[in-house]
Amino acid sequence: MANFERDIGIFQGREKRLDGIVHFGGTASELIKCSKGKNMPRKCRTYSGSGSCAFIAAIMNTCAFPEVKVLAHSPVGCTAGAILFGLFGPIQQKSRGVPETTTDIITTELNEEDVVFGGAAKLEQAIIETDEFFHPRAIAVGISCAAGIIGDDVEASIKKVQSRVKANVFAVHCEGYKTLHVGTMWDIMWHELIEHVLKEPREKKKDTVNIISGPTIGPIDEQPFIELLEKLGIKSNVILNYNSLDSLEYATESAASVALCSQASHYLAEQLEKHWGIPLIDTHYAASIEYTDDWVRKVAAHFGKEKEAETLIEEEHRRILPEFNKYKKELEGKKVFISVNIPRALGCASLAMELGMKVMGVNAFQYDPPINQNTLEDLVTRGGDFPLVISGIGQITETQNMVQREKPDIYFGDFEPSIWFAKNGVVTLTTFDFARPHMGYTGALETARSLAYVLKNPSYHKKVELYTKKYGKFPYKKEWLQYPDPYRFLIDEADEAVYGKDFGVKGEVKAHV
Amino acid sequence: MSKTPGSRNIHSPLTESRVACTISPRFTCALGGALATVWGIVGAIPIVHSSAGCSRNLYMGQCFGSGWQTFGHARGLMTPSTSLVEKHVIFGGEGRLVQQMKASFEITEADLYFVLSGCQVALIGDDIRTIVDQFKERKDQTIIMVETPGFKGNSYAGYDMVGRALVEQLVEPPDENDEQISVNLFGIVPAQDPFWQGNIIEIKRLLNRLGVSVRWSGDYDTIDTIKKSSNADLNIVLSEYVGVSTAELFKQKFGVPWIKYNLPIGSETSKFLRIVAEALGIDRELVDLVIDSEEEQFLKQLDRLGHLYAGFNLQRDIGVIADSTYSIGLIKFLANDFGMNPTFVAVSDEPPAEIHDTIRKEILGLDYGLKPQIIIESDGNKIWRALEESHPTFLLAGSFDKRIADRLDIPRLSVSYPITDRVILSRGYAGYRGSITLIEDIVTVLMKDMHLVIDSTLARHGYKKPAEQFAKVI
Repeated sequence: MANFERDIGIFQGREKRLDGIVHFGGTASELIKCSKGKNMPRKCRTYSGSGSCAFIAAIMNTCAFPEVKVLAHSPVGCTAGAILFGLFGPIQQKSRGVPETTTDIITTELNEEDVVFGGAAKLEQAIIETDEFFHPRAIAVGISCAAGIIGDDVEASIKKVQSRVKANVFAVHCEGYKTLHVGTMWDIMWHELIEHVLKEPREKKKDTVNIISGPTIGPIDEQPFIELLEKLGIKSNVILNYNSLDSLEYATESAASVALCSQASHYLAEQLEKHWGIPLIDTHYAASIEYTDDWVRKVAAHFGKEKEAETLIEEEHRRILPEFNKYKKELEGKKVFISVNIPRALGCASLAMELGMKVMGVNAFQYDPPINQNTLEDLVTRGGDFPLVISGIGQITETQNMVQREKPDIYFGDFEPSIWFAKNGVVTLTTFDFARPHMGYTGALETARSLAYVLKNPSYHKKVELYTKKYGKFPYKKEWLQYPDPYRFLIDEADEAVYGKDFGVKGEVKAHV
Repeated sequence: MSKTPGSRNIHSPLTESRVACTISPRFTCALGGALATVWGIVGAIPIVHSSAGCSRNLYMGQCFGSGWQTFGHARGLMTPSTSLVEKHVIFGGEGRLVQQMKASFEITEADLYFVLSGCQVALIGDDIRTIVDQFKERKDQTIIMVETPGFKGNSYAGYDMVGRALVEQLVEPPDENDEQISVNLFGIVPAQDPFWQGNIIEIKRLLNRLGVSVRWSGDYDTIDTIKKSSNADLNIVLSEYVGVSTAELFKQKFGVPWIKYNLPIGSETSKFLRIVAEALGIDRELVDLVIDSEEEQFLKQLDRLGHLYAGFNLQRDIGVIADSTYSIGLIKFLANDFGMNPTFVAVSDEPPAEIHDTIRKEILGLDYGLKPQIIIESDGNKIWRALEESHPTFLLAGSFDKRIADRLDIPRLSVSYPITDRVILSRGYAGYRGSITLIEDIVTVLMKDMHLVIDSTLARHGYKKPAEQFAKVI
């Protein structure tokens, strides 16, 4: 790529590059203050649940491009979770009417001998086999913890065999221990795709905008945006997941970029702006009516369609508001707890506020000042302060404590923690599922409808709660669930070594001293 | 270097290059098998000393891949993990483990803790044993420590690592006064066998009918059950090799003898029950009575399928891709009871080389002189190539094999890990009742995809698909 230079910073992670954090507990306004003062809290956790690692995040992101095959230079277990991502693809592809692909798991299956003698020879052969079997456009070699620690020189291996294979081969430095900030993995993946896929523009398309989508944003959410922009005379180049890389190839020809999820697309948008002068239209996560208005207005403004946009927004409001307000009446005053990746969490919080619900707390996974500060400020201005925990890998230790004193009426968030809220007697709704739009006007309306219905009929949740209360038990002790400080395990990074040595943890739980 | 079951020699300076990568592996790593085994124990919490992703990633892989069943007292995000980052890899993660264990004991509710370790800590050389021993000395908690680095073996190996650790560290000496006739079951790996729970329940039901109670079974055992498992009179291993090392250690430590009988499906169950009964010295008359009544019910259901089976000739050339336990169990049932013609078997669990002959002998010992083609291989590429040549007309395999089934236009039922196109909760295929469930599943797919037979049969004879002929006309 002629004018694309390797930005080494991305390999250091968003913690360094964007001043991002993955450990925080407090309130939204406290975090805004740190963020504005460029004084981000540097914490770590003395207790941690399970979550995402750099490796699985990278695999997930790369699996979203079927023309790229992920070759995991790892023991056999590292790729296990890709099974879940294999589910996303066919649903989206069937809906779009494009050929179905499978998410293939390819692993060098490092064994005991390999970690002693090195796995380079095996990797080289594996690259050739992968190329022969799949004929992919590119092969992404994912470097696992084991491969990283034994010190296999993956770049050297790739260099050695690149001339013998048709696919572009690149290494993804995603050792699982590399970072808890999984946003970094998006950056690394985009970086490689930009370097290996993006082409110089053949022409400039003045009426086209890049809409950068994400693997958990499907056609059900993309379609309405495409059609809304169409009405404004703006063409969309949707950079799709689970589709051909063609839409990415000439992203350099569009007049501007806009993201559906700013977290995922940040690096791509940033590089398009930096190297090809394609401006990024900075928007909120359009999961609420207000944020969708804002999204449409900003995109329209870029193309000089302000007036048409107002008419369109008015039309859409007329279409959805009567029904939306009906659900609003049912939901007003209900307490909601939100837990999902940060842009979506904040977008959903905005929707909850529109519905008159009380945001009891937000668990977001990461926080990067340049990406998330605006939205967070907007929310606090509109709906007041709320407890906020940044949980890095998506762990739920703090959130389980936070919902004890005052139970929310509903948990609204990521699919995985749902079961633990249900066991606790809280009704749940996943922010994203394939059968319900969650963005745009349609998404706001459909989500409001689902929120209202799940509150009306929580029969399944009640059964799960009954089982836990009567026959099972909850993994956390009462002492922890009722402990006054949910952020007990968050300590300053500088203190970690000290706490490690003397077995100490901040605070004490009485029953166990 | 010691040989671990489930780990194979691939390319290394010491061995001849065989295959460099595995496409679509049909198991996870030792840590995955160990975690699934621990999640299958009531009130047990694994504390995982590894990167943040290992336990949740393996949870998704092992449990979602097992027909979307999720189980475990502290599963998924709830599993305590040291979540190591770069500084720990460089400076050591021992301090972090101490911190995590202390905090876990304080806030989590468990009857039993496991400390499991991942690749990273094995490679950086953390001394986990010393740390765990220090905690054990305090006697606050029951802690079992198992080193389970992923590169040491696959899910099946992980199961035995936990099994042996429990025998070594938890099982108590037998109680002299125990008069009850009882057994333990080994060899069924939770989640790696998607039908594990249903299978164990059926085997338990049958043994109970013989007056035998089952202690440590693998299906939601309590810590107390495992502690007292040495009172068993016999250990039954339901696989050709999985669980054998646990049973052998059990024998050395507590003198409990063990027998091996591969997971019985259909009429094989009668032979299984007779062998178990003989080993336990159970009254022959009772055994005959039980078997007779079970067989009556089993045959009655086969009779009920009669019109469909005999009327439409449901016999097919069957291909199976499954682990050794299922390969043997399924093939025997389908050939000996259900009239199918097994033509192709891929044994996909990387069984240790020394039992390859046993597996072949078991599969080739079918009634009616049937001799399916057998390959012992875990790599999707190699399996699919061989399958393409064999070209069966019905495939029992995993969800990955949609790729090949679609290409060959053959109907497929997911029966082996990973399964993501079905939901499996209480369903089991073992025993008499399980075999009827299996028939229901197979015939449902056969009827639904009957049209595929038209395509694949015509293709075999070099004709086009009728769709290609008529699509234009309509």
